[in-house]
Amino acid sequence: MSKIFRLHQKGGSENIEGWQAISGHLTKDHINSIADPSGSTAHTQITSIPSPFARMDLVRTAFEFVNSSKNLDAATIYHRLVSDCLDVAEIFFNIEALQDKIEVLQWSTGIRVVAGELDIDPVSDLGKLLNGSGAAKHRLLGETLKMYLFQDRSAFNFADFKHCYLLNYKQGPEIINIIGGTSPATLFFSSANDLSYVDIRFGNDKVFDDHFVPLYKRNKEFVKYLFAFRRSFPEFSVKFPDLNTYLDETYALLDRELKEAIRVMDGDANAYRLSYDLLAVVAEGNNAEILGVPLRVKNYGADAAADEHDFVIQLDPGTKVEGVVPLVLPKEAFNEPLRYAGGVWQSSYSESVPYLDDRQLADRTLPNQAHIKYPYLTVSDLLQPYLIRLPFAIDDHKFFDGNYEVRQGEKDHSYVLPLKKTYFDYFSAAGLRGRLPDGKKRIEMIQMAGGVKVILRVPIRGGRYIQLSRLYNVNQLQDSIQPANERENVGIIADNQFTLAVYPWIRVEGADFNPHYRVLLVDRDVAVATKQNNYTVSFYRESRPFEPLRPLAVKPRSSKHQSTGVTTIYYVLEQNFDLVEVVNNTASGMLVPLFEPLPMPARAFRFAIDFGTSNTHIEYKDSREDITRPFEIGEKDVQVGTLHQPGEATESHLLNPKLGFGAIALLGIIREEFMPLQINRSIQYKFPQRTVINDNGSFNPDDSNFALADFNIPFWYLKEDRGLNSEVTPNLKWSDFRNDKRLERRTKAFLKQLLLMIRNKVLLEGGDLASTEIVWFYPSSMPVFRRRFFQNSWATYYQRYFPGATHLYRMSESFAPFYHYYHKENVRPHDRPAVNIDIGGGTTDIVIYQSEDPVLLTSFRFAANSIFGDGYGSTSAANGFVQHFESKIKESLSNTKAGTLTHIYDVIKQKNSKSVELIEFFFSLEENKTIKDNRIPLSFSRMLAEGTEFKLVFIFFYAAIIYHIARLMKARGLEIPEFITFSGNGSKVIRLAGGGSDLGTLLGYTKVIFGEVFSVTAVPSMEFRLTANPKEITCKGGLECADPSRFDSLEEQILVTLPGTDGVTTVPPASLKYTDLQSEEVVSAVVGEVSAFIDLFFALNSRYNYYSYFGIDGKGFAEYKETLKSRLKSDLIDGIRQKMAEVEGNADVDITETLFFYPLVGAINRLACSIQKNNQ
Amino acid sequence: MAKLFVFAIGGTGSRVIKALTMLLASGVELRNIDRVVPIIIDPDTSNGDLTRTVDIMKTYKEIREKTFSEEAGFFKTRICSLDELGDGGFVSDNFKFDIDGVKEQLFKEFIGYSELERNTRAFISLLFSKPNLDADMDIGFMGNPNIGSVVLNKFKYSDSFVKFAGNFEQDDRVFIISSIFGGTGAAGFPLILKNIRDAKHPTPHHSFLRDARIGAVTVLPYFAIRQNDETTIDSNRFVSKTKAALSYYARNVSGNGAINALYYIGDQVTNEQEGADGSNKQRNRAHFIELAAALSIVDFADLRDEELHVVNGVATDPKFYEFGIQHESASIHFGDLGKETYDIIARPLTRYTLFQSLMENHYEELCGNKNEAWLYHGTNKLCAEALDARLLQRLSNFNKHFREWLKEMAESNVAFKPLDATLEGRDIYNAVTGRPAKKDFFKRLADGAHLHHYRSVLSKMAEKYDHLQSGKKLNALFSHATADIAEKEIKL
Repeated sequence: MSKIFRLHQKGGSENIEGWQAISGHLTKDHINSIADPSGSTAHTQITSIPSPFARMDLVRTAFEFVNSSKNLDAATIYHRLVSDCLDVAEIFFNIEALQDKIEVLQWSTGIRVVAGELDIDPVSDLGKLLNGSGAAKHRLLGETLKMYLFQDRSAFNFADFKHCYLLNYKQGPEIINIIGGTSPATLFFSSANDLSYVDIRFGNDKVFDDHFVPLYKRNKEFVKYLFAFRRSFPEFSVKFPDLNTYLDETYALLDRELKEAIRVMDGDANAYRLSYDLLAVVAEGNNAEILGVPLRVKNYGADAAADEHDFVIQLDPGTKVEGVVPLVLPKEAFNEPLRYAGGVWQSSYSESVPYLDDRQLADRTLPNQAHIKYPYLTVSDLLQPYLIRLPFAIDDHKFFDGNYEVRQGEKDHSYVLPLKKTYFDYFSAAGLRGRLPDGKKRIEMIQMAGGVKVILRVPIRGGRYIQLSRLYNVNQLQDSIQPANERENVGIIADNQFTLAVYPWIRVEGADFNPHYRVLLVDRDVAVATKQNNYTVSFYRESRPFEPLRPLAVKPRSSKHQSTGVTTIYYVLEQNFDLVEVVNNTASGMLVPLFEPLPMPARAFRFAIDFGTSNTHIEYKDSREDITRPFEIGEKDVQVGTLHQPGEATESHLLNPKLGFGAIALLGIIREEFMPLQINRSIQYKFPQRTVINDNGSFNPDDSNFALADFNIPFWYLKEDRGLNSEVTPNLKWSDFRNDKRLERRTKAFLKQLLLMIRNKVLLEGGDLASTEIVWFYPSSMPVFRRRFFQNSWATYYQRYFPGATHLYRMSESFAPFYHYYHKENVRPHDRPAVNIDIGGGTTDIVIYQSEDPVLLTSFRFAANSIFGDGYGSTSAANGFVQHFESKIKESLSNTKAGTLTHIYDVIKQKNSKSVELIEFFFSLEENKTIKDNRIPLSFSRMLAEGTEFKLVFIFFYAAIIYHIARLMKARGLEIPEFITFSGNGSKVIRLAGGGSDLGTLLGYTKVIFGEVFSVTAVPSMEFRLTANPKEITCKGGLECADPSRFDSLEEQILVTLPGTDGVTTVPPASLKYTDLQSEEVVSAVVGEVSAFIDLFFALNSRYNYYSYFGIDGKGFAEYKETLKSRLKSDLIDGIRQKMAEVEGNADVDITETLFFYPLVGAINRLACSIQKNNQ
Repeated sequence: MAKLFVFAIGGTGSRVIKALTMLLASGVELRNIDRVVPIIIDPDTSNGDLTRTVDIMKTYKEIREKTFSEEAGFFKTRICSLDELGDGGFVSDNFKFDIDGVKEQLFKEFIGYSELERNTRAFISLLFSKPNLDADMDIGFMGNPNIGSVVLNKFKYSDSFVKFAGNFEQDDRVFIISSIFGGTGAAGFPLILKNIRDAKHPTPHHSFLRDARIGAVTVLPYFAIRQNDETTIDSNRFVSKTKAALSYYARNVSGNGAINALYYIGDQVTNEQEGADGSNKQRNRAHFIELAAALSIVDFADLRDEELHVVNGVATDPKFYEFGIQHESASIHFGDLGKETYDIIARPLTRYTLFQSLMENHYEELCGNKNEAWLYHGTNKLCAEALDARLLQRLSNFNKHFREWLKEMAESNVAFKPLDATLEGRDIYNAVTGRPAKKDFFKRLADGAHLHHYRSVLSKMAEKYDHLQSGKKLNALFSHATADIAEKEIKL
């Protein structure tokens, strides 16, 4: 048997002896038939190709071998070469995502054809090598390259080989680490070096490793790309026959779907050009090419393929993400074989998942798959570096507490959700609070020895979730906060003292609903480490979590660097919000408010607002019911939601000295500047409430101002020792807001807050805003301009806060009490008329009616304030009541546990020396919680009623009113009334005059006056009606009246003024214009009238002995009479001037107020002063 | 007559040219050729194979100078160095080509890697691996012909190449010997080929070169390296490397008309040799494959000029050859060879074996006997005193190499064992394996009968060549006497 000395097996039956010619050279068929037992396991790189371009050739040979082996999946050295080459191709394909690791360099051959011969352009890289001034070594190298380029041009397509593009791995061991490049023979080729340092993965495969991946097992996008490249490459099969065959072999192994995609694409010659980006190298416009065909790469602007990932987060219902939904990757042990980047997650991958990725989400490439630009979320995207610890328990009915449970110690703290806002780009608040399919909570905060562990379970596709966690350590530093380290996942607990109050704690969804929110942030970060903190609160809707809502206004009010010790910031927000982000200098956190659904609006309410000079009262009723109630906010319909758990437990925790002295101010400031939680009869915040408004005294009236931001109604006023940063303004009803814009703002703010409170009450009680009726009252004596001011204000705010509602009514203060008495108290004057005397703080309104018809109305500015006030331009120093009682009351207080209340008095006196306010303080004491709680027997009204010193003042006051009424009735030809009813807060002084609950004495006195005026000896029977809460009468009447507007015209018809010039003339029918008042004639007539009354008053002592009936000692009467009369004229002129100033510009009309009381305002003030002096 | 420039590249080149020298010494003839100009290219100049071969060729030259005549049968073909051609200007060593500036540096130093511009450096670092760049040139290319392709290209600028070109005439031929699986040879073959075909001005005779008749033998693996700690050569890779290189050849050497005649030879890798990374340790045992490869040169020389036509640097009718023997055997004898091969080598090798055997084993003893006719009769005596002592010494040296060569081939795998050069005396005619002397002859002759007969043939023929000087007479006499014996007594 013959033997042929050859390696190949082809043509084994030939007979060759000696050297014999064979049919041709050894081609790939022969070569492939050479048995290579070691080839399948070999790992050493082959270097036997005698050309500098050996590596390029070798890769092509590898394709050739793999093709002919008909097995794309083996582990031979050739399969390695093919796999590495494909790795290079895939790196090029994904180059945009690998910018941080890979840099593309360019080497130019300069090959060109000159006169039919190949030539090298001297300015090319090769040309420089050949012609450069460099070493001979370089020329030799260049010559060698050139010779092979020319000699082997047909096999390598070198004639068109203009550039080689090189992948430089920036993080490799050498200065230059070229891992692969483009090849004119196989498109791409790899380096022969050990490339194990290259940290790039495609799917599960790390590039250049010992696991060889054939094309058909690679990323589908990449596979498609290579086919697209082939499709667009002229003569691809001629230029790259081996790669071409490999692609054919690959196609057969692709899945049906991909085959179809490639098949479809193959019909479109432009697919390659349109689907992929040019690759600019070195400079824009210098685009990579292979044999003149542009080398295109993956367009990362195009949508990433989410279907290759099981780690795609599962968005909560209602959340939407524009573009690609990110992944979340397990950093903790995770060995489920989930699909990841076209491969399967390996448990070792977790090590490479960072806690923090500084890149923008859109710029991120995946851990272990650095070529894949795909967004994924890290722990640090979702969890904050700092965990804010609050010095109180969160009100978990109002805010989500993050499932934090106190395992050890007191429940005297809580934590703000350490979530970054990004969380809510993908998940809802409801989702966060919920549970996962396996019952686990989505978030947990676990108390640990050295801190708190926060576990966040992020849902991903298929009902699975990824658990992320961060340990927050207790801050070990005293004077600062340790820096957190997000990269290492070390969080720090920051101790902050702040709370939020949200008003109203109501959520109504609906396009036509106009929310009006006020959110107060109280910052009491005063510790060394935190005192520099400034806070910002942002509000978000879940539907647009990336965009903070724009508050209408942000109003800072107090500063912790001043005496209050707390900073307050008010956010005025007219949009609904679902999420709150709190940010301070160091830490941030999210708060998730838990608004509860409101009852369906099914009820209609009617409110009556008695905006009085001193006090304001609101009553309301359900239109279906017959009962009226004072406006109250009880435990069940609290309108304010606070971050802290309200109640005594929290308050006592905040007194803990370890929080620093004064942490309680967190809560106190809310009451002072904002809203109390409750307003009702069982506590000291209630209606009637003093008509005062609070602000910081420095607000800018030219800016937009907001109730419950710039201003609030201080329900604590005169009751609690507050007011650190408060300027309380009284007399809103009559303040001179034409000349002081600040006063106007304040007045309006008061009205606004009332309407806001009403609005929220309606909402909470299931009322329909549009059906809400509101009645407001005005005194008849109020000048037109002022009345119009209020009318406009009420109308504006009613419209604003009760959109769509059309039932705003105004009603004369005078009529309302009548209406109440007539309808509810059965005061039905069918025989003789009834008189209602409504004594307020500033005005007294009289209405006289017969049967149910009001027949006469008059109004004058002589009311409670005339007694307790300061007359014309006087001060508390000359106020008899203040001077008499100040020291007594202060003394009584200072001996009790309520001693601190004297401080309130001092503050009021200091800020506002108006006696009315001081007297109001005295009156308020008996209702004061501290006084009540300590059962201190202190009552100013009792002191006044029981003491006799000042009784003369009250009797005088009362007598003046009755006298005037009697004169008026007589002048108008009316009979002596059958009923006299009282209403208005000021009517309390009637009791003081009468000496307590028994009004019989006073009734007798009244009859005497009527008898005197009507010149009758037998005065017919008369009845008094005075209820315990006379202030409420107005409101109650207003609520009873179905159509208050009908009184508008009636008022004009029956308004009669007895000017006080005589006992006969009334306006109308007579006429007396404001412009006429200052005439000497009028003045002296009025003085004469008043003087006559004073004479009568003292003369009555003989008819109705003041001592025997009222216990008033008559020994000073002569002096008092003198006092009363001393300055009648000048007081009258003061009163007239005041009135003139008020009606300025509209003085040419008939007067609507008698002049009779003008001198008495000053006189009665002097009387009290005189009495006080006599009783020192 | 034309010259044949034989480029022997790397270790295999040296060993094949040694085999050729042995054949030429034995009397194998090259047709169409009157001079062989060997050019050994091996950067590893201390290579054991190379030094041995150079030594053998120098000896051959000296012996031929002293013994050649028209009647000579041994050392017939003229082997000359480049130096002897043309103007005789000194170039280098006689046969070796030294590559300047290769020694004592790394490949990256050789190409000035560090000073390359960044882009070029990057490109080069992709073409060449880090081990490539760090390779020490002193010990060859360690099986990295891609390095060799650059380094050996220096040859093109050498005086040797210029001299070769300047002396290359239109009818001269080139033959290139290389192995495909090593470093030097694999690289040098295409490089020399391309440089010849790529010859341009100012290379002298560049048009002759471009259209030169070029043959080459590429030796595919035929032995394995015995793995030891001293080598980085992994012979397991030989086949893989070969396949890769063959693929390259297929496209860029054999497939593109660059060569006129390409001879392929190789064998299944069974024969183990002690591995070494070049230097003087690389002294591999002679092998039949090398003999066969040397025969390709004989075959190439035999081709007529018309069969080796080249137009514009492209062979019009490239030819490819493979080698076979008649019978497969683990130990090849003459009888196993193909007829043509047998015809070429059986008689010459047998004749020279007989010649050297007598010279080595009996010549000195016979010189002591003044009655030994072929030594002492005639004008030009052949005794030691009459012959040039230097010639005898050279002959002895050459014969030692010859025996070693035979012995090594006999011990190799595949073993080539046609002759037993150690036989002497009465067994001397039994030197050809499987061809014992005539049977009746055994019966007739007693102890020492073969030698006796040998001496009588010599003595009978000596007179016929007495007109030749002693050295030349020795060559002529033994050539003819051994031919006679081989034909008549051994029946070859």
